[in-house]
Amino acid sequence: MSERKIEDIRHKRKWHIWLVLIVALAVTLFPIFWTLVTSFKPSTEITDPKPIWIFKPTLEHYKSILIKEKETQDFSTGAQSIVGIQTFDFYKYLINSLVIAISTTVLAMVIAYPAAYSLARYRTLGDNYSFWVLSIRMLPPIIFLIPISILFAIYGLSDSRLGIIIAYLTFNIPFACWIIKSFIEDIPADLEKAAYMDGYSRFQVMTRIVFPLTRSAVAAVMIICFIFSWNEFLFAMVISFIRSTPLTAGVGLFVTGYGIRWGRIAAAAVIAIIPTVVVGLIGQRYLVRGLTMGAVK
Amino acid sequence: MAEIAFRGVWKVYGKSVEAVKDMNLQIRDGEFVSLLGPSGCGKSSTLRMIAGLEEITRGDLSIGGRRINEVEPGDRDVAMVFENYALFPHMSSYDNIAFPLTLRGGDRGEIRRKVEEISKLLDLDGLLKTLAVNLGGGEKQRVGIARALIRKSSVLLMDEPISHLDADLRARTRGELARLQRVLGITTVYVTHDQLEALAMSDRIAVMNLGVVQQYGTPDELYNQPANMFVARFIGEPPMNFIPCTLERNGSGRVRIFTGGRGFDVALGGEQAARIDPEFRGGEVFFGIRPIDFEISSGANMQARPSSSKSAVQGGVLNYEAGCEHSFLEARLCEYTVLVQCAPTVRFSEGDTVTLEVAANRFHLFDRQSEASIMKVEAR
Amino acid sequence: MGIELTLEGITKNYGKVTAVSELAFTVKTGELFALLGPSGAGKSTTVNLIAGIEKPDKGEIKAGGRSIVELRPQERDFAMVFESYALYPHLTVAENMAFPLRAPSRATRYSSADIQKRVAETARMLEIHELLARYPKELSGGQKQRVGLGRALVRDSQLFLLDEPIAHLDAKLRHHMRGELKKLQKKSGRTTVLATPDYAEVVAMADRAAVLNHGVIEQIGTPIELFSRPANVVVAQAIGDPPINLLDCEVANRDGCFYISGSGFSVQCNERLQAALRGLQVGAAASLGIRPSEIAIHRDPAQGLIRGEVYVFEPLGGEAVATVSVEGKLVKVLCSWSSSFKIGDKVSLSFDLDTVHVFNRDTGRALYA
Repeated sequence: MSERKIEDIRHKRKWHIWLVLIVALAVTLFPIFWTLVTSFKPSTEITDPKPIWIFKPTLEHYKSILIKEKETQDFSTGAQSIVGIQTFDFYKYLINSLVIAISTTVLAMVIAYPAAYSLARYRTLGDNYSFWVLSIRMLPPIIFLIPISILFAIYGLSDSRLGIIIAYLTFNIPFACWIIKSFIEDIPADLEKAAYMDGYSRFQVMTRIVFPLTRSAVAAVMIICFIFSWNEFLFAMVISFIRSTPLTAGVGLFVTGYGIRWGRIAAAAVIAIIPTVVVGLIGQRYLVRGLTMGAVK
Repeated sequence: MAEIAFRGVWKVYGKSVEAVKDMNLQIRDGEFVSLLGPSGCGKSSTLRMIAGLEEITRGDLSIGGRRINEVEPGDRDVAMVFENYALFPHMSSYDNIAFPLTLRGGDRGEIRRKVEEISKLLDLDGLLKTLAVNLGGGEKQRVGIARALIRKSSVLLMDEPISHLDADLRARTRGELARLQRVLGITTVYVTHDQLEALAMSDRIAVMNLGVVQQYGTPDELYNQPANMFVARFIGEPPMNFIPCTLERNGSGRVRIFTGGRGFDVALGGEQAARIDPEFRGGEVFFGIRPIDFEISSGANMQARPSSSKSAVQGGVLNYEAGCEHSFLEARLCEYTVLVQCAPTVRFSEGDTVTLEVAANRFHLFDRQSEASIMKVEAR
Repeated sequence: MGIELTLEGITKNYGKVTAVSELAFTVKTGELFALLGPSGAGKSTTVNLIAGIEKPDKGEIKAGGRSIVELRPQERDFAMVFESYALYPHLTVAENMAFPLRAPSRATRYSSADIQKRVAETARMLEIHELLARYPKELSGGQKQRVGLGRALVRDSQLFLLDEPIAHLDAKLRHHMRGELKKLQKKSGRTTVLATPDYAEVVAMADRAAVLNHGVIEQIGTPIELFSRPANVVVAQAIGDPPINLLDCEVANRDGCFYISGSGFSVQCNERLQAALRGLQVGAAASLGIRPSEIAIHRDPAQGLIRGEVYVFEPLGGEAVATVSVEGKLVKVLCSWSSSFKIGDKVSLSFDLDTVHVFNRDTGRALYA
């Protein structure tokens, strides 16, 4: 009796799972799919109240972003491409994004790793200190917005890449620290004792024994930091003005007083997604392994 | 009556992992049976099948004559003690022990009486109010046992209950458990990987390996008449020595056992030869002797004496380990190293020559191919 | 090749808990010195203090006459073998063994070719030369243990620290490794400190040992001394399995002669005990210590000195342990497997006055002439 019941449950569960998966996938991927479609749609068909599924694809939006046209007015779409002072300088934004994301990632790891090691191995400032560190990440970023803007204005960090990097480090360092700390705690203390006995100093032990054994965690954390920094919009928008604008904030410039340049937003968004997708695909192995191992204590 | 009977029982995990293969075992009412074997041998799976915590893939399992394959664990009248106690940490010992009864409702006074009765038996009187989290390892284990016994089930199951205690606490608890079972007379199935525990406590032991019962018998039978090399190696500490030899039958009931090279060459006649199964005509064998069954005569004046009651060989001492109750000798016989157990007063140094003898009824022979014993089974 | 190690007044506390207190002993050059005690006795703390992984709150540690208490572990030049082996998982066996030789603090001493040669030699000696390219996770327990040993042996360190090195091996391998370790130690002549809860290891391997109990040293001596002349009850119970039986008894002095009486028996003391009991204060309570191997058990209750009832009988393969209840107290006796006593059998026990120990029940100290 009980044997048969278990078989039934197994079968039922299978198609329930499929159904849930398909719905979830559809809901998650539809916006991306629609953005992709929109990026190839002529502008008039984008703004048509009926959703148009079949259309003649065009590359005009991509061209307008990627090919630099200095001080032009794009009359072909019937609207002006310039509002105020800026043109959409794609390559500048791209480089800003890259510099900011890569710098944040590397700096966060370089600073967080020794900090995590210290928290894991020594009772620095008491047992609860590491939770204080994590709690910074738990706060909604928006509450830091105004204080940071004011501080940056005072110290001349407004509209600078360095400023954005520092703002991002505020969240990435606690996060990296927390994850790496729990991985370091999983490494048996005996290994380090053995290395001390073998004649190595504390720093050498950290770099030659502990670090190699946490490689997958480090990779996972760096991937997440990169994706977070690349995708971040709020701080990028508020801190940057002309010089330091990354791609996310730059796309926001398409929301003009004359109308929203959907086509270009879509095209820019598609291009902006590519690096994170690539990084995610390459790193997904490390992500799963890296994050779940630390959770099982 | 609480006999347990396995008839053609299999346990297969998934499609192909055969944890228990074709088990046919009878456990008598009131008997203490151990399931003994290395990890992965199927002993825990077997126990869990009796408890109802695992499905029985094939075959019949009955308790007290009743087939219980489909019966819910709670309805089987079986109690279980776990390796990691499974106590509720923030309840007192009293509450933990009373739990199976309070769960089913019942008169508070009646419950109190039963708890006090069982606590006295297990020497837990003073600890009833202590929270489980504050108890020591051995005390926790006794509370676990009390909880298992409170409902006076017909069968008690124990899954390595003392394996993680300190050595001396383990030895003491082992004696207590053995006595408790005798006094209560409850049918008990005990899982362990420690052969000493099994020998000390059981009426019969089922030695298992890779899902198959290797031998099922009394401790005496397993120790003195192991059915194959696995059992011979597993039971007895230190383990049995094995020397590869060839066995030849001469006419007139004589048997010759010899190793190659400068090895030993012994002829057995009469009663010693009779110990060997007459069906075995000759061939490659393993000669098995337990370290404790060697007799030592030092000096180099012994030779093999044909048709005597002993067979003597010489060896070089590789290592001598002093001990309190016994000393150990690692000796080289021909190309083989054997471990010899001797009295603590015997003293040797590396490089000495030692002469070893084995009494006629203390050696064992195994077929080298099948690893099965080729000794005749005697009633004991 | 080795050095002398001295500990004086070493005390270490963790918060309110005292791990070790006033430890003092000297390990002679080339000696194998054991620290014997159950878990929690302070063995690992002591080893860590000697290694430099922990700092003592009080006390002095000297190696070769020089104080080393202020030196960090990497400066002490001691080699250690861990209970958990502590092999570096991301390095091969060869790299594990070469690791101590490549330490920056030592890099000047060994050339690359030198390192390879030493690793190969040590590996061959320990019979692990076929495993040099493997990673620790591919090795069995016994192999890992030998790699850990190899890593410690490969350098010319001054002292060996062994922290329960063979605890997790199976019984047969443990027997074998006891012999191997002893031989290696004698051959290298290096001063060695071994921490273990297993008295059989101490008896088999140690030149001298200290019995630790709750952070305090109870007695230091050769294994034979510890076994035959334990200073107190703790030491007597630390060595031997099953542990020594302790029976409460009364000491009476009648006409200048001492008598010991306990549960239903009374014996006149022989010369040896007479001399020992002279040290006992009048009226002080005493305990009789008899080892299970020194008691004989008889089926006839009238034959022996002490009457009792069999509490439980445990055959152990080759021999058996009979636990006899004597006026409520349990006495363990080693007897032959074939005796087959049943629970409730009435039996009697007898012992030899030459092998018993007498202890002062209040202080636990043993009484000797």
